[in-house]
Amino acid sequence: MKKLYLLMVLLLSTSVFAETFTYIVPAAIDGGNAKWAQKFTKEWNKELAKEGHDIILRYVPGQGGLKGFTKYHTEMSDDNLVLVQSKGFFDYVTVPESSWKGFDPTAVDYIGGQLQGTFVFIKSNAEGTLNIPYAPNLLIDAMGIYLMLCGNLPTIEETMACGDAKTNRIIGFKGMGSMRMAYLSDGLDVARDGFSHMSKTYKEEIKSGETLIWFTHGTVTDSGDMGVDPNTDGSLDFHKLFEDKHGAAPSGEFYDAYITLSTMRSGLGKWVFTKKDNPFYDVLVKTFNKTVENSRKSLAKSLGVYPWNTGNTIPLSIFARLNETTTKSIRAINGAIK
Amino acid sequence: MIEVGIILAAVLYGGLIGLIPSAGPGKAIILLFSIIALFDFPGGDYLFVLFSIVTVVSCSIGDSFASVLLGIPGASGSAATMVDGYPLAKQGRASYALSAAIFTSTINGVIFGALGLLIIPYYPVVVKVIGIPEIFGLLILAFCMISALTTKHTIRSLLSVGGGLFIGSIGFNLYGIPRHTAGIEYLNDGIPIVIVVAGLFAIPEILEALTLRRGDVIKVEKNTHKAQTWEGIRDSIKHKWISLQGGAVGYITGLMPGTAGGIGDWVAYALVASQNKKDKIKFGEGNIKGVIGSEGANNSGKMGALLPTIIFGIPGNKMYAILMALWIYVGFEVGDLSVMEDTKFLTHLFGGYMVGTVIAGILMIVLARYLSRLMEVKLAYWMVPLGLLIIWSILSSRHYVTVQEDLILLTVFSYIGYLCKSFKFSRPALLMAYVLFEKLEGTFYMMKGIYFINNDVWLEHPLMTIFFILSVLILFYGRKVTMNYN
Repeated sequence: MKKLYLLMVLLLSTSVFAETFTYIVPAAIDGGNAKWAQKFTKEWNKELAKEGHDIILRYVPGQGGLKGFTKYHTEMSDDNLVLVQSKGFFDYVTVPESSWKGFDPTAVDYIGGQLQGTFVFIKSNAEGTLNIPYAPNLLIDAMGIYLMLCGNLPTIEETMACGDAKTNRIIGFKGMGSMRMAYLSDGLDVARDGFSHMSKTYKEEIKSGETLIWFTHGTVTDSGDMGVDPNTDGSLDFHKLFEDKHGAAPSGEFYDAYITLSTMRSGLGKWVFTKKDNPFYDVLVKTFNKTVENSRKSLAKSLGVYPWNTGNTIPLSIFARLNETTTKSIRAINGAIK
Repeated sequence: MIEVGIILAAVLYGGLIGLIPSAGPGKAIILLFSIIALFDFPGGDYLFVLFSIVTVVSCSIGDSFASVLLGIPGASGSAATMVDGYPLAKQGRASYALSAAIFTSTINGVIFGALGLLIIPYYPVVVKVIGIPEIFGLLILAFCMISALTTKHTIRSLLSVGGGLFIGSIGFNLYGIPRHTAGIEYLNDGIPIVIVVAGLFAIPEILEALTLRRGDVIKVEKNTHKAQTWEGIRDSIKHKWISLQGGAVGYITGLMPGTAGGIGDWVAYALVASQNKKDKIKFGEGNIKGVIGSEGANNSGKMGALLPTIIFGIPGNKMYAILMALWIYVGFEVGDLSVMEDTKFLTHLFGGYMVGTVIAGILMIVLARYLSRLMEVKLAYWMVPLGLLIIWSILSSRHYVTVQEDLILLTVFSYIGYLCKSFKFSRPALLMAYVLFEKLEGTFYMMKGIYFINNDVWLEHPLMTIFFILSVLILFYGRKVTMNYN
């Protein structure tokens, strides 16, 4: 009988400490966000297993992620065992507040994430009106291009008019594959892509001089600004090239909107959060850090070489940029560019 | 070494599904959606690519059994084999027909697999020649081909294309705004392909198979099996030109997007029959040349159809439409440059295709006598579990997030599939249009933004112009030269 009690105590204690976390991916199972989650949690589970825990993925596609966030907020936000992946939160700015059903991305605790960086490529023989790709996820790139072409203009309307006159926005790209193909077959003058594609897709064209790296958007810093992309030496950084071309640092409403969205893509594109004051927060951050440390090589191979970070510092400093003016500007640009 | 284990597992799995009458590679692939959810492939997603392609080839080889022994095509790719294979089996020469069919299919799988592999290094050249306008022309050509060359009911097939395009348009549009969703959130991300495929093809076929009155299974004679097997192999070698001719026909028809799967086999069969009219043994009464000719096109056609699928993201046939969705599901953007630059992906794909073909071929020939006994199992015993497995696959691949909605939609698409089948509306055309809608819409907008603003586009892109002219010709004259393959 004593042994039975001991066994029961042992079983109970194991079940108390061994928890299964549900990791919500607010996207379809076959997209880039899901792929990132699958790759990272595969490694993360190895570290969590050492603490007796594990993670299962759950996909909630719909409304560009909004459905997943609102489902979490209305049904699971009290659950200590639920984790959610962020995906840039552009919609937090562009979609009406009522659609979010009270979800506030600043009222959660961020466990960790991977910063993202993007390159903008241009054909070396491009002249006149530039054919540039456009899709909702390419808004930031279009904004960067408008700024680079037009410089600091007093208003958003003037920048839009200038950019529209100098470019021909091409739509039709739901995935990046068709954009790459259109660019390589000379349909587009400009393309944007991640670091890993620079050394694959554009390698031959860069080598032959047909393609140049126009600029890099950079990656977000701890203070919520955009810094030099760690995969470059800084000579191709947006800010440096802008100043070289226009003789002054970028500024103004359009720029503020651009930089805010850039920090959101770079710093909030692939992060994981959970409810505030979650008792598991420390163990989750600890295992997250260990995952990055112990699986560095395999993560770099599957998810790229961008830096990792943990805690609330970066996400909250990015949200701090979202004041009334920048929000209004982003909405105005998003509305106009459609 | 793990690759060997994966290949063997896939040969067994694909072979088993292939042996089930009326099952075919399509259903084997649907079930893979659950396999990927259940098993963590130890070498990553590449091993899954290996598993899926070996499944397809071994399934294609295995489906000859039902055609020869039951007179029921294992899949559309082996229907032509039945015409002479079944009479041969009835004459007590089942092993002879089977070994000739499997040997021919295997050898051509290897030969044309190697030919496919040789094309890959020229991919960068292909991309330079085939740009957005050419892809647009190719898409239009694919729709015209599937509407006018795979059936005599061209108008109905075109309506199927329209229906497929509408279904494909459901969900977020290019600006991220929901379209044709009737306010139903579930539909915002579009209708899942696994449900469309299972509804259109799997469930109606399974229901039909349950009511199918099957004749007696023709047994493989123990005493003569060995001698007949060697005779079949010898005759396949003897008629090597017929086999290669069938392979070439299958390969070329396979390359034409949207048309592969059945057509190549029938064209190869018709060709060999017309070339050998004076043979003592009439075609349709057990002429081995008919078996060799049509089986020659079986695996080579699958290789031909694989190429437009991976290079342009335009599936060669309905099977590849499902396979393409499966690969995208596990993270390979088929039709994208990244996949074509991924040597590991290509190695697993082509290596798996050829090695899987050889292993499956050898095993099927060696074990033919034992495998043929599986034909004796009543269809209902196969189909009921297969149907349940497919439903389970759908739910598990969706991670059981939207069970109710998934089941409702499956019922709707099963009914659509049944109606299409009954009223001869082309289901492959519907599926192809659904799969290609996104690509067509995107390409159309790119054409509008970049190329159609220039009146010289027709001269600057002659290949696109040729594709358009061919499309018109096929639409008007295709009906005269075709038959109902679906």
